[in-house]
Amino acid sequence: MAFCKPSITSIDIANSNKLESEHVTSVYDSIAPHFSMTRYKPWPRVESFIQSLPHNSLVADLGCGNGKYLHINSTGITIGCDTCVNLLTLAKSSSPFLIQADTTNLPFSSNTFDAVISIAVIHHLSSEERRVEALKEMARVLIPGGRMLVYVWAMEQDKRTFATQDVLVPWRMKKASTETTEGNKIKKKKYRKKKLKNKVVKTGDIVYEANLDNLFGEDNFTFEIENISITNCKEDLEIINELEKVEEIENVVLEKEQTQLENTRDSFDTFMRYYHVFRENELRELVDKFVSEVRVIDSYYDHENWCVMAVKLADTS
Amino acid sequence: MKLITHNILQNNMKDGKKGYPLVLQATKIDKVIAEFNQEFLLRMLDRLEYHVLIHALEMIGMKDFLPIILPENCSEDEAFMKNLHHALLEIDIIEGELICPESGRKFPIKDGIPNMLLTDEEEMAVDSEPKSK
Repeated sequence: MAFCKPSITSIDIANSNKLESEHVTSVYDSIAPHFSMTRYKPWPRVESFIQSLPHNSLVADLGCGNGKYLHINSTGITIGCDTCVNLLTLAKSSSPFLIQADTTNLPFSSNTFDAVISIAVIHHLSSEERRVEALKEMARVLIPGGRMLVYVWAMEQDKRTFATQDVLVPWRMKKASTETTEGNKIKKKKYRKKKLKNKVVKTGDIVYEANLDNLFGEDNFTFEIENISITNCKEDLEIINELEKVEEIENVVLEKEQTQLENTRDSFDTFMRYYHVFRENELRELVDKFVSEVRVIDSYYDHENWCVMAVKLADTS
Repeated sequence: MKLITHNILQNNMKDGKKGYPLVLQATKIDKVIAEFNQEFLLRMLDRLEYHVLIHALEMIGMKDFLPIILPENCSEDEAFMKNLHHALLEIDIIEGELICPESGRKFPIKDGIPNMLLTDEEEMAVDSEPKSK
């Protein structure tokens, strides 16, 4: 019945800040605890990068999220930065050195850090200018000889196919309101009735794919009905349920018990995260072309990310 | 926010100007215990601004806690190193404000976390300007 390749269409990047605010910062603010539960394990190569630094290093984790890399620097200090305050609050158990800041405008003195890491962060920046600005900022705050490690999502992935490089990727989270019948664990199915333009649509048994071109028009969503079962979709590989973004005209209308239905489905909230997925060599070329203060010393593929390690040159002022 | 963090924080402004050091106003301060690591402190002294630390201590009412001038051979002065450790890593600003000395822009500190985010308009003014030390 359901296949679950993400079908993601292109978006027109008209307004970087609005896009990032709606589809990055506020999403992470909403999903912070759930996101955090799924992001507790450090990636080994990032961990070994931090462990390879000189003892007593001062490190900045730019886009630290829930802080899974903040405790690794055992002899030194890692300062964690994120735009999302709810993630920073979760990171408090990992580090007392936290700052709410934007990776394109680091509030730090130049020539300060032994190393900076930016793990799965700048793919959330919606223009090349901003991605370059972030890379330049990393170089600026490094001491000469300091190292930066940058991970970005790759366009080339086994499990996901991207139609274009600028995409919205769903984050799905089980609704808190989902009820479970005691005993036999059969779930109630909730129906919501919503009016959207002239359509009345239900959630719960159909997933809709949003036409992303219209994402920024306030009441201008259009949907293609895909008829895909939610239960057959896995994690964030599914197509989108964009309904929660739409202003509700009629709220919950009825709730039915579907006890005879064995094949029940859970109810999910879906949040759309903006990504610019990188092609092979794209990140390295950005650093080579625009960030003259550093030299790339390694470039590789790890955990579906393109990764670049670079060192700040001694004779920059 | 620890004072080591305050020491490296700045407000990036347009034309490559920077607001540094930030004025510190604290309304709630905690004292915490951190592991003493002299080698880390010595490594940081090379890149921190000692006079900024002294000024930050003054601003939170801890004048005379450290000598105004960094002592020579300070690594051999155990009492000094312990106080430096305390000043940089054990004083925790929980609530307060950081204020840009150039523009007067206020950055709140809430729950120990300074919010250094700029508004879209401010960011556009800073955009693509070099940010010098």
